Amino acid sequence: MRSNLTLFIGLTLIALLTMLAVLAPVLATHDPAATNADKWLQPPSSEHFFGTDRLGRDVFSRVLYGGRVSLAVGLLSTFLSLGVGTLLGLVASYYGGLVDVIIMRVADIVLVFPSMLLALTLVAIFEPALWLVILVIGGTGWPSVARLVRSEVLRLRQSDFVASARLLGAKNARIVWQHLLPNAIGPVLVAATFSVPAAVMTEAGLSYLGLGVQPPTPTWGNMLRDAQLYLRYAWWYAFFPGLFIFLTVFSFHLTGEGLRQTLGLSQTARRNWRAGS
Amino acid sequence: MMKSNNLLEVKNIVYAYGQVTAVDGVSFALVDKDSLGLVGESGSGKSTLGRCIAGLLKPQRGRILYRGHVINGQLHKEIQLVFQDSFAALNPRMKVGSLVEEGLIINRNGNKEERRRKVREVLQTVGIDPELISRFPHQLSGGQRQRVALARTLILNPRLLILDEPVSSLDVTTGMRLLSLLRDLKFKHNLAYIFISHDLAVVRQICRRVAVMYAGKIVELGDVEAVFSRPAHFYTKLLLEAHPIPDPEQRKVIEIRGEAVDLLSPPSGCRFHPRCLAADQRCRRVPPPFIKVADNHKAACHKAL
Amino acid sequence: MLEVKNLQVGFNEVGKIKWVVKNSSFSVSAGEILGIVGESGSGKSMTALAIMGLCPVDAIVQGQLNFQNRKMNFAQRDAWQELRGVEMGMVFQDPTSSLNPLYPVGQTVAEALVFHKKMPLEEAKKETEKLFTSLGILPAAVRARQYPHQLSGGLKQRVMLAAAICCKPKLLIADEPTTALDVTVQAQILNLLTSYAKGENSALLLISHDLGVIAQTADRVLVMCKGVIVEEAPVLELFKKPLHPYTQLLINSLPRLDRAVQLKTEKSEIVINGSACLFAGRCRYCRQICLQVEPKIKAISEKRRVCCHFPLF
Repeated sequence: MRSNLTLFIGLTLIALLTMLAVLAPVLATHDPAATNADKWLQPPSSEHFFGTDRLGRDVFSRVLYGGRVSLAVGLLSTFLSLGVGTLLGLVASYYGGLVDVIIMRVADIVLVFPSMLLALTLVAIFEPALWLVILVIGGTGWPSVARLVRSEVLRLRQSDFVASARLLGAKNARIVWQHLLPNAIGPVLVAATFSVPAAVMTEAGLSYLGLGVQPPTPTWGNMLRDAQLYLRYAWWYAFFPGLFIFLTVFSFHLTGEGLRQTLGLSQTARRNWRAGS
Repeated sequence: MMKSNNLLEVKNIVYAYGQVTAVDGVSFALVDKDSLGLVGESGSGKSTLGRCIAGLLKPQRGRILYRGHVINGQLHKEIQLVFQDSFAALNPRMKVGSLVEEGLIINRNGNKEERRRKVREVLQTVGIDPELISRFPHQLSGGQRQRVALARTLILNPRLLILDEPVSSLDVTTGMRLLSLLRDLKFKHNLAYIFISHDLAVVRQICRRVAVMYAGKIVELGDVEAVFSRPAHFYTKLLLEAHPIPDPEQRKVIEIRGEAVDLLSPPSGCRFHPRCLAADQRCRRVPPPFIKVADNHKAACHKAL
Repeated sequence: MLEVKNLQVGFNEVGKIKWVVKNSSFSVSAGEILGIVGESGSGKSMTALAIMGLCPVDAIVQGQLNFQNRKMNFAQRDAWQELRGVEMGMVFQDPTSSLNPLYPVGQTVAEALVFHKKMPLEEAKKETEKLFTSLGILPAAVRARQYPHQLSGGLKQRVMLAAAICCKPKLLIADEPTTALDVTVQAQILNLLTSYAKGENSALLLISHDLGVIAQTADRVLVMCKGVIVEEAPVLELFKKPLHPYTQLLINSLPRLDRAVQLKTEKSEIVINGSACLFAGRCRYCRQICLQVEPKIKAISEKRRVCCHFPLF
């Protein structure tokens, strides 16, 4: 019951944040790029809910539009690492041998390579852009997914239900898609919910360093960077983008935790059944 | 090669997990529609033997013949296995309906309508309400799960069913109902059974013949009646004696020596000699041959006669 | 010596309490072996845990316990701290998960002696070896230095027994002590349990699903079904003449060595919602009153109690 509640709150928050981002054009009270030299660094008021920034832009509208970028980065990069990781993990564990060794060593190399450094290098070669950020974050995130999938599949392959399917005549393709993948995907989904906020944070970090999405496109990260000079005079400038990063991270963590407990429940049920009474 | 009327012949098979030889030279034959109990304690190799016959494990030595054809390490549609732990044997993400249907889908039997009808039919034969087809395994009781596992194998019309401790994780009353179902099914579907169990009394209920295993070898083989009433091997005697009789008027205090064998370094001669009250010099040195002690009754014991 | 009064154990499930042990009262005297038998979900293990004060933290436990003239309330769990391991010992089903894999088995027992009896370590080690020898963990000095994974299941269960009885408790609870073991090893462990109870004049609560084990070991038996004690009787009388239809069903459905039991397809379990007698759905003698009025446990003779409207005389 409690885990379902956690899951429920997490998912509701995610839905809410996503809706704010999607409906940004409708909800925004101002043009996020429109400057107003008369009204710079205004505290929150009924006209500017979250105040204004150093160029007099409406922070509320910018947070809404920034959410589009941040969430897109978080979700797309996670999809990328999830897809690549699951596929490579399956291939490695199923074929084993040399294929396994090669894939997993590459994974190790990617895993130890700092993504920030990779981002710096790529930014030096190309122009900083949204797709680059997604590619860097997604491209460095897959090894942990691949490892997870691989260890799950190796464990599941020994299980009685796989043996039972083989006895009925099931071939490899069926065993992988029908029996191994659906059972391995649970832990992977949980890991994915934790990787979304991590990606949001990385994007914030990159943008903060000026390597991410470039102004005037607002993202929570580059808003924070802009705000750092004014921390002492205008708390709202940094507070609201920070709050939304926090809420995003928090909601995905709640979802992950809830999902983990809900999926784990079947194991508890099983233990109880085995213990008899 | 001479054609025999045996359904299954196991000839001198050996299976080792690394250093540990779990099955060490086992031979027996099974005629069609027969039922053989494999009894023994943990580590006797009975489950490994079952998995070898099912084709899940490939024995390192010896031959397994099914209807006269060697099937070492090969799966055969007519040989199916029911696992001890029904929870582990059913994919937790599949519903009862698709679990039972799977065999038909794999073997491309019939269209969707025919498959669905067959699934309901088989579920009814094992005593599962077809209304349960949309349940997941964890929503079923232990007895129901074991019946679903049974239905999964029956849908392919097997000839030989290997049952690996099918009732040991069930409550007594549930287990007995499953046993009576198995008995009915055997006649209805002309099945042959290899029934693996640590419980002699359960084997007594359902098998015509019984093989007693100890440390990877069959030490006694014969008709259940004969083996249980006139055991020839001292290990069989010990097992029978240690079985707790559910009658407080027949209480017994028995002396049991020693511990189960260490399969990494099995004792010389007869493997049971360190625990045997009748063992002498010969038992310590010479492995006993598997000899006939009566009609249809063999034992590997120097003192059997 | 031990008296349990109105024990109830329940768990909170979405606003209402689900009781897994319902209003159970029974007693055990010194030197007596009381068997508790029942199928899974009968509440037998939870009863044992309650007596040891080891119920899960989210369990609701009610009732009173008189133990050696000490009155205790199940709701106050702190009261068990000083008793557990000293006056009360327990052996569990799975010896593997009960032993710490990082400690030599002798240390597990010796530390219990040091902790509870304030014995110097050297003396505790000697005592442990003596105990090991008496329980057949041979050679004791070698075994004491081995780790759990080096021992067989039977030896591990002996070590657990040694740890449970090292302080000579007056009450020993064995929860399915032989279920995970082979039949020959089972006989050995049961012998050890019996001789401890008789030798030290201590009470033994033997919990098992196996009527054979109960018949061979217990003096008196409680039969439990869905959290309720349905029958209580001396072991001889119980097997000769069960009074509750559930007990009869259990005895009749037991596979036997000496003959093939005629397997009747028993009435399968029909869930009758809100029926008063919990066994009604499986009972072949079930009548209208069984569905409406909850049977109360009543004494039939001095030593027999049964919880049924129509006991089988």
